[in-house]
Amino acid sequence: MRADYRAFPPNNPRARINNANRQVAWWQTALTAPDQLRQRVAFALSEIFVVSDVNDALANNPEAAAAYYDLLARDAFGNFRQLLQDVTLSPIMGAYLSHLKSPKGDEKRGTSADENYAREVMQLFTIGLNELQPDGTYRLGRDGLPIATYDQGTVVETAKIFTGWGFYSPEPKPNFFGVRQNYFQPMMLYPEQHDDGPKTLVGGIKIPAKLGGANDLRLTLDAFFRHPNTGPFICRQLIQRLVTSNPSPGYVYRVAQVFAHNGHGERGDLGAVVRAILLDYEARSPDVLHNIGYGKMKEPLLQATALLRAFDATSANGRYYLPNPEGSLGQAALRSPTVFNFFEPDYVLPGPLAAAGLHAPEYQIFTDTTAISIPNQLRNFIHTPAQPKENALVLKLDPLLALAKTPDQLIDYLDLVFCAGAMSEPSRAIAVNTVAHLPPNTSDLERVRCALDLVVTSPEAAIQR
Amino acid sequence: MNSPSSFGLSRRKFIGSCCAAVGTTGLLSALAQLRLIGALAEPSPSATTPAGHPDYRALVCLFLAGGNDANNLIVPADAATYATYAKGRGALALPRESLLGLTPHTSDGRAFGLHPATPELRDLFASGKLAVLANVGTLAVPTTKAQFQSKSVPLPNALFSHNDQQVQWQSSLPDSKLFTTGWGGRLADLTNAFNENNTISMSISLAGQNSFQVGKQVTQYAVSHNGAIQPNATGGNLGAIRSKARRELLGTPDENLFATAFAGLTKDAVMDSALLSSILSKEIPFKAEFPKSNLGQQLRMIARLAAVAPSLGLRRQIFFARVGGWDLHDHQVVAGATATGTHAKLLADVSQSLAAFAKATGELGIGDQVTAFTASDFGRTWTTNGDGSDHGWGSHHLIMGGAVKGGDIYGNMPDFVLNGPDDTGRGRWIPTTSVDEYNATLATWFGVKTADLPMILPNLSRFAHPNLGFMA
Repeated sequence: MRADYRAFPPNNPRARINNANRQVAWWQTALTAPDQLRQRVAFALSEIFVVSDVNDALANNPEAAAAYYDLLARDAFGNFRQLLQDVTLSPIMGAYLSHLKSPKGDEKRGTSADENYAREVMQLFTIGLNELQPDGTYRLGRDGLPIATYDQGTVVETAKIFTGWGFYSPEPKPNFFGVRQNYFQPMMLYPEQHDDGPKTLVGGIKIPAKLGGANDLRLTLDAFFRHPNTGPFICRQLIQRLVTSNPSPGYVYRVAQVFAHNGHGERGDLGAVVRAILLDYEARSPDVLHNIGYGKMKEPLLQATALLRAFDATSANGRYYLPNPEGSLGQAALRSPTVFNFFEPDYVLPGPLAAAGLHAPEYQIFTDTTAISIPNQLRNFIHTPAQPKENALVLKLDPLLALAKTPDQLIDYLDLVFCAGAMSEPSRAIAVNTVAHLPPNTSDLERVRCALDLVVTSPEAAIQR
Repeated sequence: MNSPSSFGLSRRKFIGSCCAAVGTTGLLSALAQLRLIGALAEPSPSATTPAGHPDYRALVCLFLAGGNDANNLIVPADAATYATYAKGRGALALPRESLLGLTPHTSDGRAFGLHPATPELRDLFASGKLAVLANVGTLAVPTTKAQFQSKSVPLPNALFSHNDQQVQWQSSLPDSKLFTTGWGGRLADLTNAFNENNTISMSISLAGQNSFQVGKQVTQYAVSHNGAIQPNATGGNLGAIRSKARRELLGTPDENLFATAFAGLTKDAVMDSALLSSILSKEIPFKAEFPKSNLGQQLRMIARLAAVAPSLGLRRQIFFARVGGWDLHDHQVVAGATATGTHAKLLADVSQSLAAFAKATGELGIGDQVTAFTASDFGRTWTTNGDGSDHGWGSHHLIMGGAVKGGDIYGNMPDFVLNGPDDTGRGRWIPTTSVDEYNATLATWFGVKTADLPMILPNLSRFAHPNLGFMA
């Protein structure tokens, strides 16, 4: 993405790279990159290993945010241990969760190690708050309640691990606080700033004193990687992002087993994990379709990319520019409000879904406002004016024109593309009849647009199942 | 089903009524409604000002997401306590001479001042419209340090974790592993009987979905600070044809609960937005200028929504606003100029936005009928990590409005002694007042009888003070 990423217009020497450029690069990559599965998984990872340029530290650093996304794409099918290390030592993550330039505590000055990354790397990126069974359900204590994986004392101890990491510099004696910023190399250790005392990690694992910061980090990330929670905790979230909001314990178990062992002696093979997720019975079999709790709402960005990609959207000036996606879609890549993502894996939507005991993460950003603004944006893509602006994304609807006079075939095709054939007979009939009974002077293009509008804003298109 | 408004009434009051899949909900709702008929306090005549709405009250929860460092909002100002503060907070300490002095009606012998970025709050405090509640936080039961250390009493789940503590502040059920409802939602369920013919929910969020307003019957209506938006229907006649067909598509039954939720929420949103757009006056009904900030604009829209409450058939409203950015593990202050920096900017925004809100509600004649209060994930560590603070526990909060017995500090300030009896480590103060006591005081003002408070705050009887006295 960093390579796709340039100031605009390219021939204007005064043009500056800004956050809009990064967004343009994201849309271009998401819509046109040849490695679509890798990009899709990178997006899923960006919603687990969250950084956001809404944060002040990254607000004026779009190129760094693009580089972080590239990191996620590069590691998407690699090993989880490598991903965890790359994320941890990414200066973008360091700036976001404040372990960049975090010095060891100083008793005399009354300061302590910054606890931010230590807490969130456990809570959100690896093991989670409560002990899990291999199928992702809670282990219960003798009191029948979940068992916390760690307490505040562990956070204080683990915080010491992440001290002493700063910007990479080739200089012989760079200054920890004053060194020139470099967001494109992993952070490096400044040994004198690292707390080299003993630490006790999650599960009581002891890190002896004086091992040095690099060994401390290696042993700590190993401990997180080996923790029995990490497989089910991460696999469940990847399933939620890619397939369904409420995977059965069996589904989580099958995928977590692949995380534990890819069949060739390797733990944490994310390529194998993604394959296991997408080829699982619960992802593939039509049998699950009639489970009333199956599937997930497509998050707004995915509703938009599905439409734009289906009809090779391009603009006259070649850019993939969507102004203010947060205003219309309520979401923009790497712009989550907090490290807890746009929505949380356990979000419960009050009403029937809650009553059925189901999680509905994407509904956390589906408000009375976005319920209207998202379909409005989709419609804006469909109903472009005859003379669109040079940066407007325009769908190539020509291939549909041949079906304009056969509404049933037109709707069936759109149902297949956007709803995976899930439109019910009554819904299909409404759409077909509407298109069939448009005023006789309606052009083929308007017929096609009407059909497309109805299908992509329908409940069936909003739900992936 | 004879009119759109009666349809809206049943839809809004009973979220389960449209869903055959949860057969018991309708019955439970009906029972709850019957139960509440006897549960509400008589409207107190003093609540009605001549210029205000008849028997109207509104609560505004202002959530400072990320954990506000209130240690630097309300700061020890007398020489001895300030010295403790300056030593403990190190690089984060504000200069003593920069503090905006407070003269509360009552004193524990120590003096306090406000952050220099909040002169509007100082003025509101001085004019009696702003109260401070000291060291309040999530508690399962009253807790001492010995009990905390030995874990001999139940503690809030996942203390110091953002999302868990946000939910617990908003649910007032810190020892429940499973979130079901927020205390604002339960308050709405109980008090919705005050409202007549309401089509727009009494619970309105300006900041998207939140736990606070989740009720069993009353749903939250989430609008943007620009108000309601309309579905676009470009293409004239064709647009109208499409809109009609879409309404039909949204009404087509689907066995899948995700699809049903999408259709139901979309239909509600379209209908509510049409209604709200028709009621919200184009002309702003007050002259008060709000900050251009997101928070300022949220509070501005809340004032506009409160202004039209009678047209919406609402005598009780509960609002939710949220401003993020408080999780300042670093860059909290500018080194060497600690009165400036990120935290100062956030506090200035809160101060200016609240002052504008007080002015606007005053102009509307409902200043005594609207109470705003702050909430946040947790306080922050008294000691610094160098250039910021980490997650804490007890914290200080603000209550603002004409019905607030302002100009005073309620509750008990910590002793500020590191490793002392209030400290669980690094100055993560054990709260001396529970969120339940804070909320009960607000709920009582809102019209809930003392005997009925446990319906909203089931843990309240575990604590000594169901009314902290900061509301008239």
